[in-house]
Amino acid sequence: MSSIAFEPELVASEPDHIQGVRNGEGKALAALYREHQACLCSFAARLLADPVAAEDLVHDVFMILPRVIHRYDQRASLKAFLLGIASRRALHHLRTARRRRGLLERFAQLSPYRNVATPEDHASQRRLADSLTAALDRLSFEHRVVFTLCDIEELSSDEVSEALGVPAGTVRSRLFTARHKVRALLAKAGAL
Amino acid sequence: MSESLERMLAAYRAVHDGSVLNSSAIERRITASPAVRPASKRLPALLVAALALMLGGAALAATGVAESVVRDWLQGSPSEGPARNVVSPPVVVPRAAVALPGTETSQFTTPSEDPSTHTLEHAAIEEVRPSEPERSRNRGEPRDDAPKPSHAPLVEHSEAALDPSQLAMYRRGLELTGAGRHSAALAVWDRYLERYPSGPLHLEVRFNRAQGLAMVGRFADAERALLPFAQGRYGRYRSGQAAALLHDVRERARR
Repeated sequence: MSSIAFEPELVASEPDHIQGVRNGEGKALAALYREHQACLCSFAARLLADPVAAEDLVHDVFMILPRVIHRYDQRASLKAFLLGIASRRALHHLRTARRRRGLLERFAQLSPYRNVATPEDHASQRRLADSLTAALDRLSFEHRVVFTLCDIEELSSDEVSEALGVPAGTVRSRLFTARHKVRALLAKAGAL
Repeated sequence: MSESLERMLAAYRAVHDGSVLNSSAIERRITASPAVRPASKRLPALLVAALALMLGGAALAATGVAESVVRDWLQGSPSEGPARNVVSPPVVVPRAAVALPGTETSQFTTPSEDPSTHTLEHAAIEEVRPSEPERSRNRGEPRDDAPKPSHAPLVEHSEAALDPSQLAMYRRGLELTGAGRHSAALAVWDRYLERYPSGPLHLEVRFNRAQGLAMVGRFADAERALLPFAQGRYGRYRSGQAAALLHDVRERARR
């Protein structure tokens, strides 16, 4: 029976990939993407509540990465660095997502298929999520990002502080305000 | 945090799950992009591309070739010109006809800007403006799942393109659906697609038909009808809704 031996020199680590991206290697960028796409896709999908805009955002992050990788000093995690890029690039995508939501909502009100073939449990989950999406759409961008990272993605305030490059105290203060606003908006909409 | 807010957060996480994103398609877009080259190598390439565009454009304008190519393309002759570089077909949502039946206004719109105008020349220009998401999607290599370039005539998206019989048929389908007569509505949608397989409303009709099939319990047919939307065969047109509906249809079919 033959055994398969991995040659250590052929297994590139994250620092190798980072160096590769600095050298303009597409394979290294793809490797970093594969490593971090799950976390970024999740954050983008939840921040924007729109899969199309989320895909664009993730794409944007990795398009920008080769240009900004020189700023990464490897003291923080690469995940935090990528989340930071995504947070800074997200505003434009969020506007697009909001516009699309508005259009879809207007269409849904006129569509004869408003309640089409949707199992009850799924519909109820969707209703809850839609209520929260509507509340998040009313938050300021900074509050939305912090709320998404802390309460939806469940990162610690230190991790968020690292990603956004702001003090942990600021993160906590933004989170407090965001939660307060979300509760008030949900209560006003009768969703709480 | 209150229990109801916790439930809401859990629902939000489940509904807006990152796994719905097409991660392999994003990876293809990333690796196909020239942006992975370092800036020092990219800048001269951009300058060369811009210079080539300027010189090429001037030469074409001087000989009148550009105009004839574009006109041929617009009139639908099987030109080898711009159509070769088109990454996805024109997708038209007749907003007024769909959302406001009975109104006289004609506001045709596209989910993004008309993708038929995305040529390689655009891609080169957009390299300078990478922040626009609708455009950044079309940068780099055309998507594998993008439909083949069409040589069909570019539809003039005005009221004239929508003849009254098409609109009447479309409204009839909507009325029947509104009245809960889904089988009759399906017959109307089928008749529309038979008569106008690439009419200005064909995408919306195909989507309505898919929903109608779900409503009458023909889940396998509904799934087949929804798949092209969900897989992006029609660009992003209703792809998100189709994916969600597809999920529901499959769930229902399993019961």
